Amino acid sequence: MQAKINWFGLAGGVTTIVVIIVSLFSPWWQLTIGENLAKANVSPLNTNFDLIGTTFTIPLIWALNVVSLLTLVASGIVMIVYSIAPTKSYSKHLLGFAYKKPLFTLLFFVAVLFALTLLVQAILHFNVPLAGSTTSTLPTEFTEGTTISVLLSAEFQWPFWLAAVAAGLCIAARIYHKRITTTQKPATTPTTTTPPTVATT
Amino acid sequence: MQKIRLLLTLITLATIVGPIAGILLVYQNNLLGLVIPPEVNKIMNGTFVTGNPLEPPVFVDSQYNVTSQTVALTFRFTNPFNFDLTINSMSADIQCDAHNFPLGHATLNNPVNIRASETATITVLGTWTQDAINHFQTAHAGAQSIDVELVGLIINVNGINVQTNEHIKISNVPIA
Repeated sequence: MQAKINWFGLAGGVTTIVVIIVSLFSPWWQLTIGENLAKANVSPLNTNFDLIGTTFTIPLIWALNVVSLLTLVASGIVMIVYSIAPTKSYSKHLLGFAYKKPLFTLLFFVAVLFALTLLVQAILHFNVPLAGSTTSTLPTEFTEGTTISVLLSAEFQWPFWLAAVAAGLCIAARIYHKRITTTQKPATTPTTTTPPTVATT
Repeated sequence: MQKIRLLLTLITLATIVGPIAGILLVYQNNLLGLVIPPEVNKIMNGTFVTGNPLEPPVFVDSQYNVTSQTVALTFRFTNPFNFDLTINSMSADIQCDAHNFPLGHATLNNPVNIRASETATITVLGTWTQDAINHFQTAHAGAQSIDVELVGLIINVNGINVQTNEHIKISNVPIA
């Protein structure tokens, strides 16, 4: 008998692990200020700032990155374990634990990024693009009368799109799980009928 | 089944609580340090990267070419950063310090690259207008040099455009 595997789940779990590894080296979204004068390398797994040749991170953001990293590691591993045995009695719990996390991480990341750019614009009157380039002028109250205009370029990097693929595969795994469980035929056991006993006298 | 559910709940709790509790423990005596790292403090103090404040360019010398009616203003600038800087452009109007009379326009001919922690000389070329020559002959007759001001200075460093309303005084600029 051929063992059932949730291929979408397996691909989703492996892609999630790949996303984790590449995100340690490459950001999901990058903001460049001037001609590489400063950079914000942002991802839910590794966020750092590069200012005039010096790289630093904010401790609280670092801790939140570790939370995301551990969550996605757990999600990826559990999704792979589920995918190999999707018809076990405990599999639905594993799937329920694993399939939502990449999607939630992606949505949370986009929401926070969007909120931050709006917040900066509302409070500092400084336009930060989510994608593309723009020239923004710093508010004069911060620059003591000097006008400072800055070229800002922002772009979603390829790990972000890979994370979107991982989230999509995990959702597909959830949908495919229904198909696996509904097409699974109940185990048939041979029925034995006992012949009627003839009373002998 | 219950064990699996419990294990997954414990994993969720540990992945969230562990890092947050850990960082709070490390920074328990310095909660502000959670959001403001030492590098940001240095930026606020103006001593980022090198521990030295950023100094404006220092005027060094000026030379006048009578035939082309151009004056070369030389500045010295030390790059305090561990990062190469490129001055892409620099321009300003020149005016007579004594009479606020417009004399001409000064520009940087070519971009200047200043390597990390090195000092470079920046030469800005200014051309006197015919009105400026007439002004020298009438208001500064016989003078070899005058004091001038750079006004409306616009400088582009690594894609950042800085425009200042400050008047930058330069003494003893040759006019003959």
